[in-house]
Amino acid sequence: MNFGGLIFLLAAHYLSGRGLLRLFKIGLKPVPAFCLSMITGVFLVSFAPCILQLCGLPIDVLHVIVTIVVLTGIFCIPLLLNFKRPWIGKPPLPVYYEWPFIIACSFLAAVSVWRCFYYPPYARDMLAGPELLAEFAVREHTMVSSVFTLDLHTTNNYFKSPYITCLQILYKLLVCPFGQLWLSVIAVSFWVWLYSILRERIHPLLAGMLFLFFMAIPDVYSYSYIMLYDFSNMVFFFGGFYFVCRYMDSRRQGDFLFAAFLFGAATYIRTETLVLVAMTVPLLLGYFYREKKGFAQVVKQLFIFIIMPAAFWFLCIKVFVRSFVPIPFNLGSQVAPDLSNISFLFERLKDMTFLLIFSPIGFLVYGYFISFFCAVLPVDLIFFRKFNRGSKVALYGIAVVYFGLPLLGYLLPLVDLPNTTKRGLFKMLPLMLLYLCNSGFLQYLSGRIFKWEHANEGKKAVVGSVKKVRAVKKGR
Amino acid sequence: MVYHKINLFLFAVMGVVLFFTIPFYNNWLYSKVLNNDFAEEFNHLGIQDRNMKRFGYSYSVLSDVAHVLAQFKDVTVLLPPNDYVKTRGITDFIVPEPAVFYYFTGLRAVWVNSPDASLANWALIMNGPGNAVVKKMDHIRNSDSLIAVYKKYIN
Repeated sequence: MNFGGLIFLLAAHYLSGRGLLRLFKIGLKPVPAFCLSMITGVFLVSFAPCILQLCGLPIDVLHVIVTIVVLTGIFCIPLLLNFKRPWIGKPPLPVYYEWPFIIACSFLAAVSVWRCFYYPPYARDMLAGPELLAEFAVREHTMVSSVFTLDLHTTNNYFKSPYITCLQILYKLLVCPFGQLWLSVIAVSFWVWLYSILRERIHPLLAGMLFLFFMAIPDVYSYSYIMLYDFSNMVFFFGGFYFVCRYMDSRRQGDFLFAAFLFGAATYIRTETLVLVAMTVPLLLGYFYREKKGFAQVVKQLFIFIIMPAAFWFLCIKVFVRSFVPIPFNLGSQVAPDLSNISFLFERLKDMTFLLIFSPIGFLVYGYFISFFCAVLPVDLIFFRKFNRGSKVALYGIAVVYFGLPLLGYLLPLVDLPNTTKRGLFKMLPLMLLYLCNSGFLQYLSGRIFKWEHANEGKKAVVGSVKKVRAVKKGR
Repeated sequence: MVYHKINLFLFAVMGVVLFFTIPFYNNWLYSKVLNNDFAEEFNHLGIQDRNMKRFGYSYSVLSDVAHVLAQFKDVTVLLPPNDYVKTRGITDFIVPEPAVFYYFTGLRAVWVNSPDASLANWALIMNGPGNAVVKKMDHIRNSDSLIAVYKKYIN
C-alpha cells in the first residue's frame, strides 16, 4: 500500500471539500465540518479521471496527480479568499460515559475499514461494470478501453455512473491495487458526522445507544466495505435532507444551495434519485407558503433546487456515459412499456412493505432498527404530539423514500425488489435516526437524564452560595 | 454529580453488553463481524492470498488459465455453462460471465450461445471436482458434440 498516495488523496479530499463548504458559507463545528469536507471532497476529486478522459489525456499517475492538484487548487480558492486562522485548540473530548459506545462503534468501524482494504471488490455488479472498467483504464490509460470490444450482452453495468469507476482508478493508481479505501473514507466520516448530529440533540447516553443501533444494521454495515453505489447514495441523500432542515431553521441561502448540491451528488451516483429529489419539492413549497415568500422568489428557489440535481443527471448520462461508453444507450428502453397498469405500483408498495421491510428477510437486512422507529413514532403521535422541524423533515424524507421506491419500480423494470429496492431503502435509515434524535419521546427522556445527571449541581451551587453568604456575614 | 456520572458510565457499559446479548445482534456479531481470522489475514497480505481468500477455487482456476494462455495470441475461450459444471459435481467453481472472465484473466471469452461463439479457439473444460483443463478447439476430437452438450445447458 502506498501511504504517500493515500495521504495525498486524503489531503485533496479535505481541502477541496473544505473549500466547497466555504463557497456555500456553511458554518459547522470543527468535527462535523471535517467529516463533511471529507465526504464532499471524495465526490469532487472523483471527477479527475473524467476530466482527463474528456481532454484526451492519458490516465496515468502523473496526469492524475496534476489534475487532482489543479482541481483541489480551484476548490481552495474560496478558502484562500476568505482565509481564517485555522482553529487550533483542544478538541472537545467525549464524556467518559460515552466511551463504551465509542469503543464498540470504533471496533465495528475498524473491522469495516480492514475488510475494505483487505478484500478485493466482490459484488458481481462491480466486477462486470465499474471495477472492470477501472482496472482496464489503469492498464490501458484510457476509460474507453478494450473492455468494450467484449461480448457485454450479459451486463448493463457499464452504463452506470462513472463515480465508482473514477474513484477506483484514483485509488488503484495512487494507493493500492484493490482501490476501495475511498469507501472507508466516506463511511467513517459519515458515521462520525452522524454521531455528532445525535450528540447535539440528545443526551450522549441515548445518542450512543441510538448510534450503535444504527451502526449494527446488518446490510448497511456490510455495504460500508462492499463496494456499491448505495452507501454513497444514502450518505449524500441524507446530507441533502439535513441541509434542507438547516435551511428551514436558519434561512441561510448557503444551506439551501448546499442541500441542492448534495441532492445533485446523490443523483450523479444513482441517477434515478432525481425522481426522489423531485418528490421533495412539495416540502419546500409548504415551507415557502408558510414563510409567505413571493411567487418570483419561490420559482427561483425551486428552479435552483431542481436544476442542480438535473445538471448532475445530465453530466452523468449525457456527457460522461455518452462519451466514455462507445455503445448506444437507449434511455427509453429502460422505462416500463405499459405505464397505464397502475396496479403494479400498489402491488410493489405492498410487496416492499410485507415481503421486504416487515418480513423475516427484512429483519435479517435491517435488524430491529425499523421496528424500533415504528414503535417510537406512535408514542410520539399519541403522548407527545410535539414535532420539531427536524422530525418533520425527517418524516417527510422517510415518506419520499417509502413511496418513491415503489414508484421507481413501477417506472423502471430494472428496479427490482430483492436488490435495488432493498438497498434503496438504506436512504430511509439515517433519516429515521434523524427523526429519532428529534422525537418528542426521546427528547423527553434525554431531558430527564440531563436533569438527573445535573440534579446535585444546582443543590451544591445553592449550598455553596449560602455558605459564602454566612461567611461574609460572620466576617462582618 | 460524580456518582451520577459513574452510574451513567455503568448504564452505558450495560447498554453495550445488553445490546450484544440480544440473540439477533449476538448472532450477527459472531457470524458476520468477528468471523475473520484477523491475525491470519495480517500475515497474508499478498494480492494472490487475498484474492484466493475471497474467490477461492474459482480464482485459482482462472489464474491458472491466464498463466497457461498468456503465451498465445488472439485467444477466445469457450466457457462451459454453470448448470453443466454443476452436473459434473463441481460446487466450488462458478463460471464467470465473459466480462468477469476478462477482468480476472485479461482473455476474451464467450458463452456457447454468444453471437461470437464461432470465434472460440480454446475451451475451458471442467471434467470434475479439481479437474479443469483448457484445450485448443482444434485438438478436441468431438468439438461439435461438446458445443451441443453445452447448448443443452444454456437457458
